[in-house]
Amino acid sequence: MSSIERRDFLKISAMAAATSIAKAKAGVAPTQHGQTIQGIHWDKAPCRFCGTGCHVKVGTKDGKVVAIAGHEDAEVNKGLLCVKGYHVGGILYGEDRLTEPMLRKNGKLEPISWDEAIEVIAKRIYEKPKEFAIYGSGQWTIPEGYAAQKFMRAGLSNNHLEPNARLCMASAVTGFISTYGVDEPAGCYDDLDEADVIILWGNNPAEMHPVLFSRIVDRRSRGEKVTIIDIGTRRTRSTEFADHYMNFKPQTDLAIANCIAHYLVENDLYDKEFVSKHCNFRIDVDDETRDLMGRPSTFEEYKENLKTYTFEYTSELSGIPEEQLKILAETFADKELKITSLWCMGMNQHFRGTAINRLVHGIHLLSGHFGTPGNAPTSLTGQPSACGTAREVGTLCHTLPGGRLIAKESDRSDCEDRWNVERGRINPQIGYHTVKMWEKFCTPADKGGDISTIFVQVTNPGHTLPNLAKLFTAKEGLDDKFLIVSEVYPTATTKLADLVLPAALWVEKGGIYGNSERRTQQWFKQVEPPGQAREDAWMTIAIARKLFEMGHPGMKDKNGDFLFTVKDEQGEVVPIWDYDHYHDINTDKALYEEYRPFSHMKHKHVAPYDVLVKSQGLRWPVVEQKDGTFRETRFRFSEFDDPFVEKGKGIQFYHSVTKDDKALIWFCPYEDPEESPDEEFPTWLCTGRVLEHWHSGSMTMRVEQLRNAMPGAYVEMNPQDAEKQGLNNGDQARVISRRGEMILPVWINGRASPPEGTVFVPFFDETKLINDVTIDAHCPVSKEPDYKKCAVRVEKFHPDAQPEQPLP
Amino acid sequence: MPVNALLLTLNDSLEQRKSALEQLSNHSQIEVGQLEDRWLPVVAESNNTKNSHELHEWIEQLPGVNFVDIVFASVS
Repeated sequence: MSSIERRDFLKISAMAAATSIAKAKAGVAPTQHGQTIQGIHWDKAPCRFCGTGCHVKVGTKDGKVVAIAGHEDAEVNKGLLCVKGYHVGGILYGEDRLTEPMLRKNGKLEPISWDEAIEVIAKRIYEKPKEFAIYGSGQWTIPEGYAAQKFMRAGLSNNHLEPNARLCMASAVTGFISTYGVDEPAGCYDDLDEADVIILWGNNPAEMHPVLFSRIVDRRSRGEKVTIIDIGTRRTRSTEFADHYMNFKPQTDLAIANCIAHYLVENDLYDKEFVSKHCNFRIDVDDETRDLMGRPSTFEEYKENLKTYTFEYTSELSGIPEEQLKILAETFADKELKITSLWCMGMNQHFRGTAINRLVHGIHLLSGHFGTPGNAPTSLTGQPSACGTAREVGTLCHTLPGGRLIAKESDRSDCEDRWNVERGRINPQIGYHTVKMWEKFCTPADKGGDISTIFVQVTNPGHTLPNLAKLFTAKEGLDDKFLIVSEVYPTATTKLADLVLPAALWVEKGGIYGNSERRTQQWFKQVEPPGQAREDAWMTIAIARKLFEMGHPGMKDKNGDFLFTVKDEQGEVVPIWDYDHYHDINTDKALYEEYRPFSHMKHKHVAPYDVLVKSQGLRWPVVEQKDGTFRETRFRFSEFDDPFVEKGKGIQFYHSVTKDDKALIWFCPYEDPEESPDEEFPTWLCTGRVLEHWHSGSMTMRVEQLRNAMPGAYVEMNPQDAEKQGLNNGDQARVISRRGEMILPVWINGRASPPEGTVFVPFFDETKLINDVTIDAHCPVSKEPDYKKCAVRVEKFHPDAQPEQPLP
Repeated sequence: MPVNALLLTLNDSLEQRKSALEQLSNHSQIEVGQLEDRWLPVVAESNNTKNSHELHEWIEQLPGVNFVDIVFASVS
């Protein structure tokens, strides 16, 4: 096909896509998809990037992805995509895709066969099964995460399994569980269409979840009034659309939430009926103990503890003027308003992440802004399947599928029965959480470093772990430490890998993701992966099979059958461990359908695979109706929508910690952060994302348009701070902490106009790893590190005075 | 050579809408589709990424255009 013909094809397809979305928005005609138009075959997939869960249409021709369009039938994005989303197809075609397995020999990665690679891994595990760990992510598909889960818990009796989601949403999980007794938001994106007030708690959806933010702002263009209150430590692009911007000093969000509660209680403005019917009170065990469930408390104790948090005290502590705090408190006191709180990393990556999550849930419960459309405390996720795979499949070091816990004997037994392995197979000792796992890996064996092999799938810890010198680069030179990395491109992690495995990416494989609003989304493989790149689920199954053949007892079930036995419709075993036969059956479907019943215990009924195939995702619990159709649930715990709420209850927290259908309102005090600016390190550092790049940039930096739009990291500075250091735009600055330093170009004000005494650095740039500087201290309950605040010193870099530090 | 489909959300001013439609129709790199209520599909064909950004910005600043959403992009 000539280039002119190709462009004509693309133009016709482009106009067809835009017209169909315009028609859908105008309610003119239903749309069609899943067909071949003008030589381009269109199929569906969720976007590969954030947790919003936008559905895209993928146009393929001659075995390649040639076009991307927003899916007009998708409720999440209604045909729209953000700048990253419409370039998602480009992530497959970077010039440096990894295409063959490579083993490090004499310091150099050299190609080997897949058979050799699988054997190397199996031998490492066979020799030291307890020292093996898998580190995955919220980008794992549900079947991939489930395969890793079963392999580790049932196969190796090993709980050193973690997703990188520990670094992004673990505090949201502990917040939900300690408040409602069960994880994940009760509300959904429909709340954004109904709320009168949207409160952004350290959240920047204009850049991080742009499609959701445009859904909010678009309401204004329709003449609706929606008030946006932005509570942040720096102005962002979201601030530009906010009616109120409340700038607070890092960590003091704890006091702000308590101040709102104090105002409601002291002035008798809380929702007494809601609280008496639906809430109990909870507090930490003592001033030292910070655990998941604390101890029961009373309203009187709660009221007494809140007394400190007057407007005056909170204003002094947080820097927010009293008038603004009053606006916030009065907003919650107004029962006529519908209020939705949104948060993401600002509340989760927090020294007291669990506490601030609990407090925001608490003020919604206290004020009765809960359980009706538009009234919801809703956490957003940063990865496409942080909810689906990390939280629901349960790939954290202490969890089992479907909300089960390793520490609970009945949960272990239930899983053992479902997996048909003998009782006692699952190790009752929880594994290492992320920070601990990498610390152990980077510690010599004779000094207690009892993790010797880590298999990394679908993530880039050499870039994204905090305090990299301690948690990642310290691995270099250590004897008997072996890093296996499944990846699509060379990254900061593959630089230290001993074995690199080329992975299939996005629509080069089938998959299922679960987004921020409990929506499970399925897609089929649409193009072939390059070279020898293969699916991560296959890698896990192939390793398990090799161990089975080596005689590892854990790879057999009670009948002596291989743990991952999949049979076809005739009852014949399909050898899915042999890649030549991996696609003889829909392995994704087989794994997902095996997993699906696990989701019922906590009433998280995910939809059947075949139902998902026909939809753009469904929000659990998805329950079969009398007519055989399946109905999703938008508002959990609310009788008008949730089928598991008993008639007449109105609101029912049916997994209540206190077993009385009530949620918990917590008191958590303001506490100083682990590290604050001082004379030596006088400036707060906050890190995060930018609109154009996703996570460590390993995909988006391969897309020319995105790379050109934002080619490198920078340090965003307040003009006064820059002037004090003699820094101008484009000058090189050293950002130094107690842990390391990084040299970055200065961008005065940047996108965020940071307040004096604060700087911001985006983390996407692998040539400027700001995580050399960040701190690994973490929330004592969720174990999630705080990437949003640590103390640094910023000074002008004089290249002649000293050589630039070599980058890891 | 990017080919992008954009969905424009127009404002309520009939005069500004008319002017925006005229300017868009007269632009050699833009193909205008059929207006559906307030939503106008257009296809923008550009020479390179920079040109694509310039076109996008030009459309965004047209009086009568409230929002520009990208709904389709070719993969180069």
